[in-house]
Amino acid sequence: MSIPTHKKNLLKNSVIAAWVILTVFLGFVLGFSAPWQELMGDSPFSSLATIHGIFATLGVIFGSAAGYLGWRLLLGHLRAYRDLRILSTISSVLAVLAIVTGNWIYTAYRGPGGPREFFMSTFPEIHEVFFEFKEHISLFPLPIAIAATFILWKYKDAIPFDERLRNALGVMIATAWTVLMITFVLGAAITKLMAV
Amino acid sequence: MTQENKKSKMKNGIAAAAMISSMIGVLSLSISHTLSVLSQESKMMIHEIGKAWIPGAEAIGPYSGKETIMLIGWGVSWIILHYVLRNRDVKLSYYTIVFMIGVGIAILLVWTPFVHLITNQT
Repeated sequence: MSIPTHKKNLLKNSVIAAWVILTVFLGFVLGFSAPWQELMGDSPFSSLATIHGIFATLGVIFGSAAGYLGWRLLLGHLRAYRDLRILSTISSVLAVLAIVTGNWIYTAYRGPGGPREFFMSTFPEIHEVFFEFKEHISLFPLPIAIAATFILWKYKDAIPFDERLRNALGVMIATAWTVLMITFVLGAAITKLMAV
Repeated sequence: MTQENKKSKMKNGIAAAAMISSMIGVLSLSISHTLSVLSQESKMMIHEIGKAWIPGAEAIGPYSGKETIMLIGWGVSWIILHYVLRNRDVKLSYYTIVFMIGVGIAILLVWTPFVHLITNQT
């Protein structure tokens, strides 16, 4: 026996409403009872570092979703062109925000008593190889993601019918995603050794 | 409008310009980094470029100048290439290969062991 459409919609809306109410409730309980300050640390740069971390994490989430669609595009299997355009645009904005906030906390990284001083006196390779690589390669997604986003919007009607455009875009998105992941992993690893 | 018409209506030179300019942007960054490793004078000059407009550039050193050089290299090349290629249909596959090679070189030029190798530093 099939369920009538209006009953299906009611069921779906009830599930969504319950999910939203439960999420908001748990969010409030956890949000207001958690010792966030302890988690963030007592550094004067902890808030900035947290904001940078949030943008970087969101960048990885949206960038990975865009990367997956980019891979489908490269293989010629993509149908969700609109989703890719939106995800690519959000990823580009997040790249800008992560770089700007990264500049802010770089001040703390290079400052007296900061991680750079610590690494140079203990494990100079951490700064000279890994951090230097991370700080420069972290800028790569900016021009590449913005250029890919521009092409996705400019040629939105042509892309489904033009394999060369799809190949170019697939390569650009894959490149941006790869350097984004390298940046994120190195950033997390270095923060684990010493945070700002 | 047919599918083929949609495809042929717009020249792909604009896409090639956007792609190659992004590669030029990252190459500008990596070359400026290599130059800053090569000599103290270059490093100071690159830092001065960053100090010209980035707030707090004093604290982040020559990195500010490298960011600036990347933005200039990317932006200027995009404008020039856009106007040069906008009415052309190019072999986009060649441009894609050039893009990959260029970005590959840019990655090598920000990898410290490779930079030290080519600048004869230990």
